[in-house]
Amino acid sequence: MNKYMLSSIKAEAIKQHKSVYHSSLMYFSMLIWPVLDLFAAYYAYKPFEGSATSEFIAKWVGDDKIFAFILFGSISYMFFKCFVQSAWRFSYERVSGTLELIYLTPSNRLGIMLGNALASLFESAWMFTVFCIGALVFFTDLYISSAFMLVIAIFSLVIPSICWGIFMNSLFMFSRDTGIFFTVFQSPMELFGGAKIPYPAFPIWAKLAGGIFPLTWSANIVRKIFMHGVALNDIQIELLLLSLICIGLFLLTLLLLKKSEAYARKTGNMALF
Amino acid sequence: MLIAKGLKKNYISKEKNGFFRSSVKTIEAVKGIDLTIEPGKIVGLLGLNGAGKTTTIKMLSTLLEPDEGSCSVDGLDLVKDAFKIKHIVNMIAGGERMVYWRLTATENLEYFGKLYNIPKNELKNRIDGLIEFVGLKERANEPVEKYSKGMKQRLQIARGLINDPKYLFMDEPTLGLDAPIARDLRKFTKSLAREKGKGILLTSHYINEIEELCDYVYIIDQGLKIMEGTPKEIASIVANCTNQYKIKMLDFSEKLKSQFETFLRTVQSDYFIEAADGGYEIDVTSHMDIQGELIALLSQHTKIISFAAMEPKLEDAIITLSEVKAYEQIHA
Ligand SMILES: Nc1ncnc2c1ncn2[C@@H]1O[C@H](COP(=O)(O)OP(=O)(O)O)[C@@H](O)[C@H]1O
Ligand SMILES: [Mg+2]
Repeated sequence: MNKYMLSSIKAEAIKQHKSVYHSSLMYFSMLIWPVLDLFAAYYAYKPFEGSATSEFIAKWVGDDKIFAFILFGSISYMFFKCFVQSAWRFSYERVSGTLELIYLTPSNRLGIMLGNALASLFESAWMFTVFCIGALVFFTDLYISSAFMLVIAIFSLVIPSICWGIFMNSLFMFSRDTGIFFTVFQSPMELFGGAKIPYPAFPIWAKLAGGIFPLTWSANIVRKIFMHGVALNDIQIELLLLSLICIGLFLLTLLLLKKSEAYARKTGNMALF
Repeated sequence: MLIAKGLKKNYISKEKNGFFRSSVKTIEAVKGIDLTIEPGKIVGLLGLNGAGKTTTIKMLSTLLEPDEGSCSVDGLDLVKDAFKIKHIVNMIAGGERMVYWRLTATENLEYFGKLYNIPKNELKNRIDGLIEFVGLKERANEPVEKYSKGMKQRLQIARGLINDPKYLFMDEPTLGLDAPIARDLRKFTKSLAREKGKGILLTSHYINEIEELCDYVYIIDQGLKIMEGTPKEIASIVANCTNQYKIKMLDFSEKLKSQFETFLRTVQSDYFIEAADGGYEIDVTSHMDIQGELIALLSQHTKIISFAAMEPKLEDAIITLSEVKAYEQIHA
């Protein structure tokens, strides 16, 4: 079945890309939104400069690092943000009947989920490039300790976000009520994932809520690598937690895929829950 | 050869009877169906809405697992070898939503072809051939959203042939299509079996379509087979069990009425009468051919203005056949 994996990934990624980015306007908006997002985040802090709130954040982040903090938070967030939206779009394939056509084929189901997530990630990777160039232009004071750590930073964004993507895809695809997942995942991830507010500043319950999102640890690692020039030793715990979350998401996805197809074959119903 | 024996499928559905209460209902969609499909032949599955046609097709195409029964497709087992069977079967259903509208015909076919892991060069040749076959060559690189209904349907056929299946299941492929497009599609279907040697199962609730295309026909009702045979046999049985006459005549006296009703009772038939300009119009439905008797009886008493024997209707035939079947079961 493994030889189907690659061709399924490729087919789905190309299909998804072609059906979403059918006009050049899409590419333009891909560039505009993250920039607006970043400014929105930055100016949300701005009015508080010199205030108690600002002091509070500066205490965790460091006075001179607020913009960098927000920048790298936004970059990390961007890698994860697209998936809820794209999974929701993907789930229309169940309603319109094309999921059934996919089930007709001997394709690799996990490959389909992966291909779809990769196509969405393309959006983020594009923004990532734009942002990084921007970051390098504005900040000459990046503290990356080695090229190896740069690779670690990229991996800590790409792999967890793909795991998150396939999990979101399968969750949305096999659920009748996708609206609830918007509420459960989108805003809490933005709020508690530490993209805009420093994670250590949270009360304990919010820390627990934020801790389940891979974004929390990805953003943490990326900031430490780019802002503090840490070495591999200094982020062992974060990397371990992130790996555990990724494995968990991956296994959950496999389980959902298996269960939902078996359920569909038994009941004729494509929605598992 | 595809041989299915005793296929059964139940749906369990939850019914809401209020905010918190719900009850479980079992729908016996298919209650034991046997059928055989040979390569190069078109087999018809005829039945009214809800008869279990789609459910049967979904079982054969591995989308649904039968609750009971067995099916072998060229020696492979429908349940155990489902993934292998997916390579040699495909399904086409009516409904234009079932392709990607933003993609072109070629891109749609490339997508599904890759899901079957067809090697690149072979896939390209196959797509060219299929696009030619379904007559979409000029428009192959336009997004599907610009296609007409008939073109989308033809793309759907090409999609169903992308894995060069040995068996093709077509679920009411002409549903909702205009007459000329439906005619084209029937021509395609025929050449698929005759020229390309595919074994085809075609469902329909139009008897004419089945008569024109099929080598062998199964009629099912409420999940059970009530009849099988060649289209000729089926057509004559259908014609025999639904005789409908529309008669216009000058009068309908009390005497005629009582004789008429007595006669209809002996042949277990019904009638319906209404006054129509200067006379009466009668509709008679009968399970038997009573044309001669009707004319003889009526012409003794009145002047017949017009007499028409209506085309046989599948609905009536199926109702009759299932009545006969139930009768036989009770008295077996
Ligand atoms: N997914 C489903 N869940 C519950 N009942 C279903 C489902 N699909 C079909 N049915 C029921 O099963 C019966 C057979 O349906 P179907 O196979 O679609 O018939 P046909 O294609 O001949 O119209 C019908 O009574 C239908 O309402
Ligand atoms: Mg149907």
